[in-house]
Amino acid sequence: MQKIKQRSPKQFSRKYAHWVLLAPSLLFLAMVMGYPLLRGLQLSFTETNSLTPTMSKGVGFKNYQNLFQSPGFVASLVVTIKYAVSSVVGALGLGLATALLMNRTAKGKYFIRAAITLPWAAPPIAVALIFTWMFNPQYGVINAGLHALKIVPKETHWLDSPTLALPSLVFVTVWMTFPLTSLILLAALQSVSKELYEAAKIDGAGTFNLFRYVTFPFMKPTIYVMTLLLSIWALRRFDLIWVLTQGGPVDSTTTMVVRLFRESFEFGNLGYGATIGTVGFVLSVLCTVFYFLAARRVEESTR
Amino acid sequence: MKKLIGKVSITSFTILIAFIAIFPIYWMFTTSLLPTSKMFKAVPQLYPNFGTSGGYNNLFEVLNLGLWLKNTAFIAAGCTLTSLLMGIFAAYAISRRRFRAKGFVGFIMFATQMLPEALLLIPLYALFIKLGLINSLYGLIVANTAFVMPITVWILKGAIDNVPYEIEEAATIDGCSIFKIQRLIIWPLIAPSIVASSVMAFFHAWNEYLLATTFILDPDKRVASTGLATLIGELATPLDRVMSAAMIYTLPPLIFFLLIQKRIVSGLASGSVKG
Repeated sequence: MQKIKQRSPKQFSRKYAHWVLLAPSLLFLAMVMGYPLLRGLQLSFTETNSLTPTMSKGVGFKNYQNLFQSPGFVASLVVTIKYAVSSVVGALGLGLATALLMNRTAKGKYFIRAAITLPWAAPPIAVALIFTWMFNPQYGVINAGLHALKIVPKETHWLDSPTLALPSLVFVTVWMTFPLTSLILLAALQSVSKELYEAAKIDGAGTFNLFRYVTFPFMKPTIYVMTLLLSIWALRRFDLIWVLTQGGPVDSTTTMVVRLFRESFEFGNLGYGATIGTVGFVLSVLCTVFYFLAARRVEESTR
Repeated sequence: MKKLIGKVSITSFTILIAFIAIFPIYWMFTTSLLPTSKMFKAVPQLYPNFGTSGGYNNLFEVLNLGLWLKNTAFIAAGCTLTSLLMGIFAAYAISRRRFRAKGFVGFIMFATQMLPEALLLIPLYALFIKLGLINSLYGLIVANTAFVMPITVWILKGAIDNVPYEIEEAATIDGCSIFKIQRLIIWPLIAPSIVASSVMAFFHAWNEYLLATTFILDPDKRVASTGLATLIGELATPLDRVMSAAMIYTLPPLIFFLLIQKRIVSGLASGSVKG
């Protein structure tokens, strides 16, 4: 049978309609994200100062060499990893606990749902403002409360202590991120079929085994996605850290993004700043690759 | 007995979680209505002075809050509109059409979430100078849209996936164009998700700080996030006033998220739960 090669214009537009639909958003992203990304990568191989941006000169991998030899950068890399890991673990842990709790109590569910909307919806800058005040060493309500319970000594310094600043920052971060985590985990929890629970219960599974063998495997993909998203958000987070501690004291909360911002906008080393940004981007990509490998393993094991 | 212990522990855990979640916002409110004389004490007063207007008295005359909020609302509305306009078509294409590069397009949308804003900041700054978008609220709309639109696409794609294809097929046979199908069939059916993603987009821009602090240098074009940040560590403004301003800035997202929280979550979750 002969193929009919001719197509009417209408059929043609039907065939390529998706490109017409996608064109605005893709072009826009190419201009506002793709182009700056490439320029940023290129910038990381140059020495460019913000005072004389036209006198940019290529220096090959020199910025990268300097970067990994600089104790300041290595320290900020360590801070970033500590911050990301602890805030992700914290948000997942508290989020999972809250999700399980909401799944258990019919009455409490709506109450918790409404309550945890507050940290989720509050703007980071407003959050930073209130926590700065709450963490105040002399008059802050956190010290007043914890001291009354005899947990901490009087006038404990939080955000301006080199040892406690990062944990305090992690606390605020977890406070902000656990609600969404728990709500999404709850959605996954509710997709576990009731029959499966009944069957496991008849087989004599206890609460713990029920969680381990029925609930958890079902939630695994969602937990993985949330881990990925939380990690990427942690690697990118700037506003909260900047307003709460500005990276201090003595760089104890200087994450890579804070260092990048300082390097580029305070010291004007645009090339070097872009190098830090590129390393941060590579870290995010690595997280994503890990995620896809892990997700594939889950898929294969459940097949 | 065992049942009772279980019940008690569940209740106390519920109260604990709710307390942790609510207290900072409660404290913001309390501080906004606390006279300075009662604020700086070793044992703070735990409830607000309801009789007074506290920091809210003359708030809009003393601070430039009105202008900040107006600018913020403007860029948030602009960002929502542009994200929706571009996102809804992209979502339809990714959800309904079959083409070879589909996986790649989906990947690009996701990849935008991996880019640190800070890396893009410098080249974007250079680009915006060329385009005259520095110190411009329109520039901020453009920059915010880039980060928000992919989330919009994600939510709307999930919603369109749930619309049965048969409805469209019938319309196609009747000779409806692809745009007409969207306008007449898809959009009305996914209206709740459109609302949810609009709220997400609006308050993403409303809360945003880094782009605003970099691209807006003119105090008259400050947005609420950057305006409020100038109050930190500044001693001229009393704390009750700072907290009143923070409260007013926080209230709109709180109300909207409380109203349609379920929709937003199901929109986000349909993407992540299904994988």
